[in-house]
Amino acid sequence: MHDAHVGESAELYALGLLDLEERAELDRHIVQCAQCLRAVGEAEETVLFLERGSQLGASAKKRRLIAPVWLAIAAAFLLGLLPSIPLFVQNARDAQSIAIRNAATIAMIGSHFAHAQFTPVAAGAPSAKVIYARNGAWLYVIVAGSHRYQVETKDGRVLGVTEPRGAVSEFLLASPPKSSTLQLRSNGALIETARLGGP
Amino acid sequence: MRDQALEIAFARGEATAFDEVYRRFLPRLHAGASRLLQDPQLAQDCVHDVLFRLWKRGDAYAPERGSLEAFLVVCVRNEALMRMRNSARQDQLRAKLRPAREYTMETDPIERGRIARAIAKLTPLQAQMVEYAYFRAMTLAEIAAELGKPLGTIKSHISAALRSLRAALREEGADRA
Repeated sequence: MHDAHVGESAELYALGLLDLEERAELDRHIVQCAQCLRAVGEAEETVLFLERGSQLGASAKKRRLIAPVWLAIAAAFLLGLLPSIPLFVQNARDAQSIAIRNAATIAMIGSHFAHAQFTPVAAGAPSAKVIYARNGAWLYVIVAGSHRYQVETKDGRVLGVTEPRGAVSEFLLASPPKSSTLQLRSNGALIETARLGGP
Repeated sequence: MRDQALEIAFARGEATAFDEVYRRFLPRLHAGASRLLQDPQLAQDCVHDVLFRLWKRGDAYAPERGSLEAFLVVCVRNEALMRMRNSARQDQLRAKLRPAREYTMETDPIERGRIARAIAKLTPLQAQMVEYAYFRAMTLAEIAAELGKPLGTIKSHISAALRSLRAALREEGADRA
């Protein structure tokens, strides 16, 4: 490659398909060849777009789900689920980004939060709790069950669905709509409600 | 939007540039590494190692190459791929990589439209190449075996696919990396 241009190797390089030796050879070449340097740069920018697309896609479903570890631990503590902390930590892996997580964490550290227990209205409803910022910045629902539960306001506005993480299922929402009551549904059936505004 | 001042500062190895690069690009770099390594701590280590190595090397990047962000994304992806392929958990990690069709880009509707239209312009073969090489992180040999085609043919297909995608992104006005 010292004499020839990189050709199709630019794309293979950008996609991580060259082995170490091939990459090193290409690196040596582009130091001396502006044309190939630019070709590699263009291939890299295309990969950046794929990266943007995949990250948007990977995070889109949970773009309002931000799970700082400290909040997960607090929730686990409140529910007596400390042994399952690794499961909560797992959720942090799905956070949209460290920056957002940090921003959320800082915001949450600066806010006061309250909690309310869900009251079952159907037989067999699992224990569940909502933890929420008093200033309305976020709410966090955790259910001692491994299914998906729909979280909605009293008037039926769907806020989202909890994500199972091992033995629990959780949901974190930023900037939730104001509502004095939250409801949980399982397979369409109302199973429990919680009144917000308590300690 | 490229930040040329930052790119020049990083290329020069200026101390503040490293911090700024870390602050600005860490989320995307970490997310990319996490997708491959399926572990936030391993991903963090990977990103840190790459940035530190580039920082120490000093001459790894030149603004004439293209965007610094794209350069870093590829460096981190290369490193993460290498670690993934060296990992004893490789099969598990690979199994978790989702094919492109499961990606629904919906955060930014304008961006979503551009990327979706660009990908839609690829031929079925090109789209398959992108899916195998990028989304599924398959090696050349694996793709060749999967499709029953010679390695050289696969290389050409992949290269053509990425160039077509680049052209399609340009047409969509989305190549503002």
